Amino acid sequence: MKKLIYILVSLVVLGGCQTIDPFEVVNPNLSEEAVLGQPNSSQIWLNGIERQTAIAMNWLTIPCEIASDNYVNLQTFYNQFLDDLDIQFQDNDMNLAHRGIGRVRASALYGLSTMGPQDPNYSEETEAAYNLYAGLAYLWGGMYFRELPGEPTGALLPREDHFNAAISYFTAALDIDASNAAALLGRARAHYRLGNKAQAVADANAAIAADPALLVNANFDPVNAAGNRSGFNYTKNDLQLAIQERGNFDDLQPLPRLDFLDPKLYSISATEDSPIALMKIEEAHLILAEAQLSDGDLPAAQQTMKNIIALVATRPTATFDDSTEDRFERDPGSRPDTSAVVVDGKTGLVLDRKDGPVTVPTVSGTSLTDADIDALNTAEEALAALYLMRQEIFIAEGRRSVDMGLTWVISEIEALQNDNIGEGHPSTLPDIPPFIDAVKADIDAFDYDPDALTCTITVDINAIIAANATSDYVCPFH
Amino acid sequence: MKRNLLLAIFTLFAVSFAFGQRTISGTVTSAEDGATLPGVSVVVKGTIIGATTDFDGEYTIEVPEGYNTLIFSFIGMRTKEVEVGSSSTLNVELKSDVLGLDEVVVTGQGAGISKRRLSTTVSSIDAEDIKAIPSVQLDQLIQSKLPNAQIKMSSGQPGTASIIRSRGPVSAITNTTPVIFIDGIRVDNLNSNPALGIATGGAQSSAIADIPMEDIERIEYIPGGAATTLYGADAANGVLQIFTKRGKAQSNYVNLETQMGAIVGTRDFLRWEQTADLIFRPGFLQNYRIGLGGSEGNTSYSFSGNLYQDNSFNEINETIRRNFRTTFATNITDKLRYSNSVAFSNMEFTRAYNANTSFSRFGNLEGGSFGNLDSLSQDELDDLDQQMTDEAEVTNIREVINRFQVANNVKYYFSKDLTASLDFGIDRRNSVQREIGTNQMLITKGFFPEGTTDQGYIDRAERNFTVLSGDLNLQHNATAGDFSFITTAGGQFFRESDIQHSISANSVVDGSISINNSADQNATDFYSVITSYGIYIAENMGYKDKFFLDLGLRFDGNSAFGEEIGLIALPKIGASYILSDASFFRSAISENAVSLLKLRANLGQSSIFPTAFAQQRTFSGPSYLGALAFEFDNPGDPELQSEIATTIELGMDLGLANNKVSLGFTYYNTTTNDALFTPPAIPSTGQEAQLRNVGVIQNEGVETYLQLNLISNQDHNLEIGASYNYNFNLVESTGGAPEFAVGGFQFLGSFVKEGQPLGYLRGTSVEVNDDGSFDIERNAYLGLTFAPHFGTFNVSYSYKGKLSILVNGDYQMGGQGVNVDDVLRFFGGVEDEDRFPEEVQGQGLSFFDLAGFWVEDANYLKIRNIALSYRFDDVFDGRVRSMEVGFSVLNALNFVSSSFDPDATGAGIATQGGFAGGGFGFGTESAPRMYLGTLRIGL
Repeated sequence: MKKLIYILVSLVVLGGCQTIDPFEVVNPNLSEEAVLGQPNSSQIWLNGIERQTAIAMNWLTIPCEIASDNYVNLQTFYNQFLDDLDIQFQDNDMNLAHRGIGRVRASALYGLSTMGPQDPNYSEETEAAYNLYAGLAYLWGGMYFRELPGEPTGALLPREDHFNAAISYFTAALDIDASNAAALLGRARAHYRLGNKAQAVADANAAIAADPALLVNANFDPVNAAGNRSGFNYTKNDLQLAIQERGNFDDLQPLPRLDFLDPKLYSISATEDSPIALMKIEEAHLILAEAQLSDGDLPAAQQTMKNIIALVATRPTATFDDSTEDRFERDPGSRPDTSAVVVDGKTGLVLDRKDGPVTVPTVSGTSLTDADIDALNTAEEALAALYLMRQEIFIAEGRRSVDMGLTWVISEIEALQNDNIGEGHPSTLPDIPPFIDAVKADIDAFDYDPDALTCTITVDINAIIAANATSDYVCPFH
Repeated sequence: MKRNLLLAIFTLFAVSFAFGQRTISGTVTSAEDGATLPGVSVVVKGTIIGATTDFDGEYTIEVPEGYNTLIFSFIGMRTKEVEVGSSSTLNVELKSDVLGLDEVVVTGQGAGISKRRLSTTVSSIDAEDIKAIPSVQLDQLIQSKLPNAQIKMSSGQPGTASIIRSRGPVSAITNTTPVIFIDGIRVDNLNSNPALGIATGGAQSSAIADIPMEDIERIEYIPGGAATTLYGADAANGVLQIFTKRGKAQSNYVNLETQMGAIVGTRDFLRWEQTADLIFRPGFLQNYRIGLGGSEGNTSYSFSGNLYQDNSFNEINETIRRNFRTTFATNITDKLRYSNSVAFSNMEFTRAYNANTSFSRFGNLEGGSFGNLDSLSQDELDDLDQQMTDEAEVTNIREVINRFQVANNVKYYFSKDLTASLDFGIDRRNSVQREIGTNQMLITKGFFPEGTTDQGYIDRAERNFTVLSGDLNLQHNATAGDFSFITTAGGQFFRESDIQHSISANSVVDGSISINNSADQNATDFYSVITSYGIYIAENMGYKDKFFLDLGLRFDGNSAFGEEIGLIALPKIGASYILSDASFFRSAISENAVSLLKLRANLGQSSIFPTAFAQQRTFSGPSYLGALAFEFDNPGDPELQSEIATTIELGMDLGLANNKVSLGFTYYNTTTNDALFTPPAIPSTGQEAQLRNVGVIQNEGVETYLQLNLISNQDHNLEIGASYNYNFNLVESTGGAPEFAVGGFQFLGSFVKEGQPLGYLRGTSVEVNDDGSFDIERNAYLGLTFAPHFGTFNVSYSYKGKLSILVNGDYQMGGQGVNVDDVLRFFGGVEDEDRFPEEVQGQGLSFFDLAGFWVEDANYLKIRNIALSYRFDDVFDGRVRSMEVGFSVLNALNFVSSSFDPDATGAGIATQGGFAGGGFGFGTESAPRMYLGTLRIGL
């Protein structure tokens, strides 16, 4: 009898056990099997690539804007080295720039090799987009680094190899749709950087023909941004935070000559950040103008530059309250902050931020006028003006440091974990153009007299670029 | 199968037997002075039948047939086992046990075992110690009371995390917080912000802050090593066990307690007195407690309830707690005993913006955002005062915690030598954080221009944590000649379910507390349900009650890893020898000179599991501009496994000069192999960082304590005690990975690097040469966040057992910290005047290069508590049994070498439960000073 009770009780308990299984495995993660082959997974993967492209733009633009003469960083939150062109392999921003490129590249290549082909609904359009982003990632690799691994922990490839890889991916996109203006412009930029003048001009013209108002943006998502600025989930426009949104922190301050273009990136609303252009048609015209100047055809270049001014005039502006920004709060009056200021003999370059809304261009802006263009007498003067135009049009798009011939270095994190590199490798050391290195202390410098309301920029980087146009560091057509 | 086994064993308890019995009675007295001892516990060995001596030291107990030994135990006395003879009267004398050798401890052993038999150390805090210094928060309560542990409160903000450490960090993936049990049930010990917690600048919320503290009888702590082997997963940082009054036989009582006091923000660490003038103001604290309980036959019960409120030392913080606990214990049969404790805790508090946010009032003032406060005119100070008041009014951060704990225990006495004990229970904690950022707040803080209406937001984060514990063990006692054996075998599991949601609403209308009134909302969740389980067997073998061998083996598993890791075997082996009980020793040295000399040595392992499912390659599907996006997530590492900490320990305990001096010494050496590191993600892969078993971490140190009983007679009792601990930590290997940050900032951070201590401070160092020139070294070693030398001290005096005075505190030496506030002041041009040597001033050095000058020695000596109390017996014509009046000061005195508070440096724990080294003094108030008056009435 007693045995029977034991057995019955044990059975009840063993049965009851199933209802409170404390050992059940609960895995909240999404496995590769769950994702691959799912209908429309290729489109969803493309959304992810676009998202990572926005994040990569944060990592590519911020060091560029600080290192160049576009912005000076006066606070603690952003890069502390690059204003002085102190380019170090332990600087996390070097790592992040590489990380963004690696991420977009790995994602695009995985889309082409695996995610796309396994999706029953994989379209040519999506395949073209994968190729476009793969091309963009390689294009960035060539723009920002002298040499860079072309695959995960791979061997270092010179920038030419990256531009050529970019060209082949843009070409693959064009094989699907020959009128893909973004791919044409991307390929034009790759050829431009390689100095392939004829192909660059041809692609630039084809891009203009395909879409005379081309504008492809990286779009940010402040609502779903998570983590910190070094993470793959920070979809907030971080450069926008740096130049405008942190309000009275006033982190990044523009060169007074560019004040009228700032903040190109501003908080549109709590749920919408400004986009950053990846490709816009202005670039095709700028390539044409530079090709014309390198051919010694000043009048043609002048005409192209006037075309650009006309094109820029068609681009939108935004009007908003920017009164929380100062120039700058920790040291008021140290920087020009009123429209009355004359910068290098020119008025209207500085905005009044405290007297009502400001109006700034959101895609492209320039201070140059047709009269300015007509007044250009020499090819070198014109080249300097063209680079000023590039500076103004591309401000806050991560382009200026490349125009100045600056490149980043391979980070410590890659160097120590990639058997092809190692500590002390030349790719981990900076290579700054000597003509920029000579003025590095004054890149962001100016003299400002708040009483006389005059401001003189200490060095004219555009003139320096033009004067050194034949250097391998700058002006690829020269 | 294993799950079924646990419960099947339990079903075997269900039957009981009856025996004939006889009645034994007698008197218990003290061997030293012959005084009768009330409250002595008398238990029939091998049963749960017990009695307590009355006021006159007399007891009566029914002893069943077949049982013939009584165990007499009393705090401070050596436990005595006496055979029952033919007489029905049994009078017993107990000797005092100043050194606690016969104290029964549970932690680390599976079941209760006397300290005498252990090769490891256990520190404990008893109810008297707890009562002496009132505290409503566990980490505050144990601060300065555990001789071999250091507790640092990271902020004066309510509900914030602490750093609790003893033997140094053995892991780079977790912080040093021990695992915590209450009545055998594992409870939430998260000592950092949850994964989806709201960042209010740096204040880290902690689950330790709201552990119900009612009715605590005793706290035991083991620091790691062999003592923690039987706990397996995550116990490498030590185990803290709390025992309530559950099942304690005691005469009926009703206690009432009231505390009132003032809370004052400490000015000791402020750069400017004006900061305190502008935002501090004294607050009021009130605390009401009622306790009742008693025993009837073999049934005992207790209830304790507590209401607490304080409005802190500033205009923003307020804390309310409502707690209660009930316990119950009874013998269902003379072989089966059931007991439980049930507790509920509710805590609500409001928090200010802190540290790493430009919204922080304290951070902005101390960080120089308003310039040098000394040089402001009265008008400017008045404006600033108004600004601070305006900011306080628009600050709205609130956290509400509801926590429910149940602990059940069933004990079954198969025979006088075999006992089974089953613990099962839950800890359920729900916390909701809410931050309302109105447009008005953003405008007041200067973030958006006047007239902004679309920037208001509400962030709401909720965490639901449930841990279900089960632990079944069997203990068997046997003797054979001079040998005695205690065998313990058992199994346990903890199922921890951590489910979090966070919702942010944008463009919220001012005045709304609901996320519904907003332009859009978005939500995130976090999901972690993991079971850790293990089975263990331990054998404690004694020879002549002098020499003991302690063996144990645990197999450890985890539901997030299953087959990939399997069961991990963790062994322990230890030996202890009570040399002073050896006859050759006694014949050479008198008991008066050396009353105790115990030698002990052991080796043991404990494990720390990797982050759940970190071995798998995964994808993520975040929302991007209203659409789903797929991306790479964790790259995966199929080889991933637990890191294992192996500790070797050597030590001794000494009692000298008639037990007037007792001291202990322990040397330990812990090596963590296959240490889990997350080397920085390799950028060319485009992948996230992957957790890997690539490192080796070393910890070596000593733990000592000294207790002096200077005066001990009928009227006066004066004791002083002190401890000293040394810990040296080194990352022996990172498997070639580059160094990575675990805290702080890029320019000056807490890093992990091969050949350096875990979390060492790294930044630029500037050496000034004799000729006035200087050398700059980038990424140099600047200091240690974990001070290598630390300890506690205490002085207690009592007069006739009625008046008592107690002072305690702690100290640390050899550690460094960063005055981050002064880095911010540097940007405002108002850095500390003597911060930089003359040679480097005006040389155009950036703050990056000046980093080393902000690192300061963080030595301190702090008097944490001063408490004075007096007890009146039989007042109001005996209607009140006792009345106690007390006065105490918390966080009384600070002596520090740094210009910031070395305690309030805990900001910046990067991940939930992640590594915390502290070391950054940053924009947060220190734990406030409290002046408390206490009235306790016993009816």
